[in-house]
Amino acid sequence: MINFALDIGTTAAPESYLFYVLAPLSVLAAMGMLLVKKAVHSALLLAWVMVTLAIFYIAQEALFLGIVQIVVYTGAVMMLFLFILMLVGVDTSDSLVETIKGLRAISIVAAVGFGGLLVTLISRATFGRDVVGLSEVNEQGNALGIAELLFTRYVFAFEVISALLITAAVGAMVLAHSQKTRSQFAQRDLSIARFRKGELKDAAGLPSSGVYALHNAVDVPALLPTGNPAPTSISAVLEARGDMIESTNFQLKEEAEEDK
Amino acid sequence: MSNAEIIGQDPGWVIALKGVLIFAVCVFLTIMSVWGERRLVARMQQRSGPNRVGKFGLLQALVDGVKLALKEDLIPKSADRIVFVIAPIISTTACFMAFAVIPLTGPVNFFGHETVMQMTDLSVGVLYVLAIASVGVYGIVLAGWSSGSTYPLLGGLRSSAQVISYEIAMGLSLVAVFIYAGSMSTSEIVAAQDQWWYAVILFPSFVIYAISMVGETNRAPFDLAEAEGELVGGFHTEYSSLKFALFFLSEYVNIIAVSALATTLFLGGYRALPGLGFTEQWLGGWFTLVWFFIKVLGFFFVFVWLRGTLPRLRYDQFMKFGWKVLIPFSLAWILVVSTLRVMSQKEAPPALIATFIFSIALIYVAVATLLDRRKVAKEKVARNINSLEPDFPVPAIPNTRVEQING
Amino acid sequence: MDNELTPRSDEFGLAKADQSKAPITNHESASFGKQLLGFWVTFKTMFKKVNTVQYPEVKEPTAPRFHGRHQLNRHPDGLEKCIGCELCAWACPADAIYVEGADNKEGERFSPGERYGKVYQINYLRCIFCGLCIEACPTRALTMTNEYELADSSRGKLIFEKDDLLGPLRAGMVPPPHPMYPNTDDSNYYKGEVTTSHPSQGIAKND
Repeated sequence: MINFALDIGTTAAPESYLFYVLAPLSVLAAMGMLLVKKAVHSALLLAWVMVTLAIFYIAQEALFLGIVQIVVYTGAVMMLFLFILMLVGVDTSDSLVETIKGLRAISIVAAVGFGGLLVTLISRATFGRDVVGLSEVNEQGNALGIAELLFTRYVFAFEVISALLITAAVGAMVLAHSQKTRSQFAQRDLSIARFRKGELKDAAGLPSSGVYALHNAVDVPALLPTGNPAPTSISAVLEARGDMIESTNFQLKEEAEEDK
Repeated sequence: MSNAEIIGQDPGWVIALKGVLIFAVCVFLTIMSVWGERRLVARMQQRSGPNRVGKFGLLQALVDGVKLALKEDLIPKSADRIVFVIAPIISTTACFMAFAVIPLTGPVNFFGHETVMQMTDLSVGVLYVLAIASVGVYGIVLAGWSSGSTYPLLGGLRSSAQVISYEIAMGLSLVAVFIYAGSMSTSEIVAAQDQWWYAVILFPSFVIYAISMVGETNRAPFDLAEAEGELVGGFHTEYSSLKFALFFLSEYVNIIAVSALATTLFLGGYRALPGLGFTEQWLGGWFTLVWFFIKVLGFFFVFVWLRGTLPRLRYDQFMKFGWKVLIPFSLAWILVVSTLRVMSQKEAPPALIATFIFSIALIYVAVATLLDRRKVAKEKVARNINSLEPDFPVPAIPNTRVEQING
Repeated sequence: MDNELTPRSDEFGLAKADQSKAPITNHESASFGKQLLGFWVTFKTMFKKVNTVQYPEVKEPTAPRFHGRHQLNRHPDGLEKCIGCELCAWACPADAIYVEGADNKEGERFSPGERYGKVYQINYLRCIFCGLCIEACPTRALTMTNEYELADSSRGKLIFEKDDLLGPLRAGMVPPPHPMYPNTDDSNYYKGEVTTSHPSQGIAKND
């Protein structure tokens, strides 16, 4: 006779309402995570799935697990994931070309393997075991029960996993860190470099934009004392965007005629 | 009877009414604290602050709220519309949720029903507050990202990096409290402080918590996420109208929330000051609410005081302080505390405990001296480099004497 | 201080100055205890008397030479001092003044002399209150008052016309246009020899 955890006792009414509301939402979010186009949206949906899972845990009196689920997965892991997404800027234009040969085959094998592992683990934990019951497990309190198991029976596995994670973190740092061959130019160095150029003409920086008394917008070049516009006074960004007004519009009239 | 059992007996209408009351108190406190902060900071700068709307300007924050609500609600063209709308909602919801586990009073008579002013008493209540705080960061990060412009993105990243790093120090500072109280439930931690406040016994933890709660709430001098001089408004630059009001609200609710947690964990929560224990019975127990708010407002005053006194830190200094000072220090402190705790539980001889404390002090002095020496040596080198004159014409610094003259 | 403007070395060919009295700047950070003193400063300040002036109810007088709204002045007989020369407009760095001069008609003049300012506008959205126009004015026609409450609800209202800028007619002044004081010319006006109006110029304003 197989005993499922749910067969023991009946689920309280509020808990079942909670389940019937949240479970479809959670499944929908999980499916949406695979289907939405933007990477940030799918990360968000994943975070929502994590939160709903945490709520289920809490509803089943696994308080500590539920809270830790939020702190660790939603709070830390997903946040770091979001960080990377935002900084690297993963867009819809993700290339689907395999960069490593046979990546697709490897990933399918890995996915099937992982699925198999999950199924065996869960069935090992579920089938052929007598259900102890919540009240007995949580006798000393939920957190204490977990702490006792973690630090006595499973202490070796726990420590191995933490060592693995730390190694991974250090490895990632080593891979991402690049030794700078020379120190970065700071404001002071740039200032010294400007003065060292020989000519002191540009030492004070570029002129600021805008024509006095006619315009004071940043897309208008400054007029030099000679009446000529100074194109260097406009930000390179505006210039590249094409958002600047033609500087000859602001040349003094007589000068313009002379130029012709 | 423990708080959890008392709350377990609450009928539905008590729970609902308590929820509404706690929410209302939070909103009221927030509105008043906006006014209070402006008045206090103004006094610190010898100004008078808002004094036009209502007596002493008491209605100022209310009027500001109405004004914000009536403003045009803009969503930038380049913004991600859904996330842009969700972000302030996440932020505000999360900070209100923290109040669910904070015990505001001891046992009181609630319309003829014996209960405590606490929504729920989780056995991992403090962890729950931390979890909620980490969800609240999503509001800020998503606001920064979804605005679709540079400054909000930078502000959002800054503030989430900040909150995450200071949450580590905060969590570590709480470990000592858990060890001493033997529980993670807020009500039991309060109950465990009937003799001594943890702010006294675990003073280093209290200091670390106090520092990291300022970092956690993005307040001056750690308000780098909305550094006006650098990032315009930070993550909420593109927000206007009610959405901005929500962020504004959540910032102040957050301040009150971390202050309330600090009160609960370190200052004995709703309990009276030492020697005034008899007041806890006044008004059928409701007087404990007064004690609670006195303590919370004390923290709030410190927040304002910090803002009025200290300039903003540079970002790298701030992160260095969090990771290289607060976290290692709190780790070392946890080691000391847990050793002491185990010693006293196993009834070690007082001589052994004294020796342990003495050797810890010795190690601390040795390390501090070594670090200090290295710092002095480094400073010397730095000064030598700085005094080298550049070999190009530079304007004179007025009113300074220069030791070395060119040529 | 005697060493305020001396260069710190003789690279410009100037004599070396005695700098031994100058304070040495200390770039080291203050001790922790000293930094905490800042908290005492802010705390103490909370109990000091506030400096705020409750502005709309309490108005403090400005400094006597405060640069406020402009005023176009009159001669003692009521004629305008402005001669429409546009020097103020040329002096204005912010391009805020617009002047159009016109010829006076004998017997119906607005100012002594040949010309007067027919149109006179100051745009207070542009004006920076630098006072260069006042320095440029050759007849002291344009001066500045101490009035500073210039906020308004539309752009148009902030362009002040001649009527807005002209000083009020005092007792004994005759509203222009009218002839000059009998047997005088404009130089008498500038020398300050005309001190009142003459009945032949028109009916003078009473108090």
